[in-house]
Amino acid sequence: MMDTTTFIDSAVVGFAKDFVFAKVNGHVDSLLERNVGISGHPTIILFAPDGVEIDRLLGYYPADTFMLELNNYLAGKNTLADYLKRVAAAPQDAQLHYNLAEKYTARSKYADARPHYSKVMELDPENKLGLNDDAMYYLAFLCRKEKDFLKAIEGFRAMIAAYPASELREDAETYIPWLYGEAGDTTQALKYYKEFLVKFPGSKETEWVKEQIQKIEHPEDKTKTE
Amino acid sequence: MIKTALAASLLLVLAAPGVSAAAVQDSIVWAPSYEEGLALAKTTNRNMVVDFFTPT
Repeated sequence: MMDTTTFIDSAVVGFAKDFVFAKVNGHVDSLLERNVGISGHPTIILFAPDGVEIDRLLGYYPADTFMLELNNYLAGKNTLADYLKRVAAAPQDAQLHYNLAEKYTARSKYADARPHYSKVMELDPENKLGLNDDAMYYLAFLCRKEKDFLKAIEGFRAMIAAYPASELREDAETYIPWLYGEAGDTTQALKYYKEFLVKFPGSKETEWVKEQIQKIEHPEDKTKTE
Repeated sequence: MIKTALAASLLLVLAAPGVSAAAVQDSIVWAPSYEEGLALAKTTNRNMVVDFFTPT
């Protein structure tokens, strides 16, 4: 998506002349991706000329925030190193812990991220910052990344129970059946995929969920096409 | 009249100090690979931006 928006934006094209730009296809160079700890796509990494990472962006960024964040990184602002310093200086700041946890998550450093997501909830028990549902979601997400599927399901369920109105609820409800499938329990997976379609009839994930149901109910169709 | 004014404005922008030819190129120049990009970054002492993507 950034190819058809951010990377063709005239301001970004002008901005890019001061850098070397390169692309890595995750389907082709998975070894490099593992080496640099890619946790999702797209990930944009800013490297110094000597190849040392300055910092990275995870997810889609429109042109203006793309350039703003890279400029911040070049100025030493909002980087992992910057948040480490800021958290050390203000250890009771839940927002800083959350930002630091995100930095580790983007680097696939889940064990490092976990205590900071937990700290967010500890420091803000009344959820005044509105970050606790996100923190709970990402704690479950980390379990998923570490392939502890049942613990991830437990985490997503706890998040939904605590914050039923969360914007992340629909994503969490999509993960639950998928995680059952990954854990080998297709009966539960099928049950919760079907429940999802009833709970979220207008979801953007509807087609994907229907595909998953089809795969479980008619696994022979997959064999035929392979 | 409006077109003439717009054209004149554009010429002024293009002629302004700090607006190089590269700034008006119409697309990003992508290095052929990560390794070649890294080599180029080292030799030209430029930072490198790498887009790790999966085809959609």
